[in-house]
Amino acid sequence: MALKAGLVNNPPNDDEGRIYREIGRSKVVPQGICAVNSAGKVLAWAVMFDDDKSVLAFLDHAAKRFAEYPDAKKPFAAQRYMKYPSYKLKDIEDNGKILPVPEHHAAGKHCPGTPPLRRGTVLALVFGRALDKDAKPVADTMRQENYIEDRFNIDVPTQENLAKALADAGKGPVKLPIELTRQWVKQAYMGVLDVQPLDNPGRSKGELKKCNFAATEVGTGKGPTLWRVEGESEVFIDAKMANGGPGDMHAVKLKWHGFIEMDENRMTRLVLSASGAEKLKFQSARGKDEIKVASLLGGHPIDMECGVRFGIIGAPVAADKAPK
Amino acid sequence: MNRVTVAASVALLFAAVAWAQEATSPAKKAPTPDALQAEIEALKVAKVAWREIAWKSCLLEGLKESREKKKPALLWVFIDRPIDDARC
Repeated sequence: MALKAGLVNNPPNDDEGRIYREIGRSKVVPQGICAVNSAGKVLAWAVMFDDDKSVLAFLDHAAKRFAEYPDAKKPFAAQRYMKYPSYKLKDIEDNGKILPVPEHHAAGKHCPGTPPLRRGTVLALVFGRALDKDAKPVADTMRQENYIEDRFNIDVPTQENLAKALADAGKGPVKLPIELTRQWVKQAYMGVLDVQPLDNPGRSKGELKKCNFAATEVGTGKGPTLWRVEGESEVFIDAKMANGGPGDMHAVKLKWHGFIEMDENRMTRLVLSASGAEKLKFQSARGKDEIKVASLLGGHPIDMECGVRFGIIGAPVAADKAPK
Repeated sequence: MNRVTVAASVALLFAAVAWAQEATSPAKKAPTPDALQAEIEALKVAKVAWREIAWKSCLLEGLKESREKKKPALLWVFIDRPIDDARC
């Protein structure tokens, strides 16, 4: 059973939050892989691994610990590995607390792991491929410098501002609001989160060098209106990106086209394609990592310079995710 | 969960057109949203290792399944990202 546990570092203030806090009590760093038993008690943490076989060995290790400590009846310490199995840190002792584990969330309460969205919010999915010298997508899709999937939301106020801009312009072409197009450009990059060229969490936020988009109305039928979009973008960040070092940089230059469908002041469909070139150097000072799982913190070295293609497909979120 | 998939995915989790050339673009722009969407969906890789993992997002649901299946829960702990994010 695998669980994305983003709330360990920011737990809510309820029974579920107290379980998250207990898990976080023994964490090594704010990220990693953690095996817990059915009571939410930590069996073992691992931040990195000696090699690929060690990942599987860690799972076996967790299963053995679970067989011995399946619940909170018997106290046991949380094991912590900076690198499994060679680099073990001091265990964190059991605090003796037995936390209630509700079967499910209280009636009417949304899971804090997936907070509800405002009805009308558009969920946009992003796909990106690095291209080879023949402009074909690179076949190796394991690494994020070759293949990415991402997502972002376009909130209702942004859609309303877009609707106003389109309405004011007649049939266009109309310049699209930067608050909207910046989101598109921000997500269109290859690689890991640390190399995000715009709004990077590192010492530099990156530079939006170009972000020009315009839309022209197409079709004259009743109902939703369709707008054709054209644009160009260019972003750049230097070595001050998160976990960046000497020689690192990231630049993405794209040409865009696509469609926005609007129904009054709401976006009902977004389809965008972007093609261009990308250059990324990350952790250039480090040698090539032969064992990826042994250097998970801070990511792996990347040296790419190639053509890229991105696609964005957006639609209003389903009613169950946007109850209000 | 497939063990090899886990190994490959854990590695992923944490972890030529010259720059001077003009941006490459498809030879022809798709005339309709449907046609363009089909082009974009073709970019999506049908089967990637990390998508094979049926990640849950609710801790309570996960612990319940752990009790029912008598197996430990494996948590991927990360920093300040939406839980349905696909990039890491």
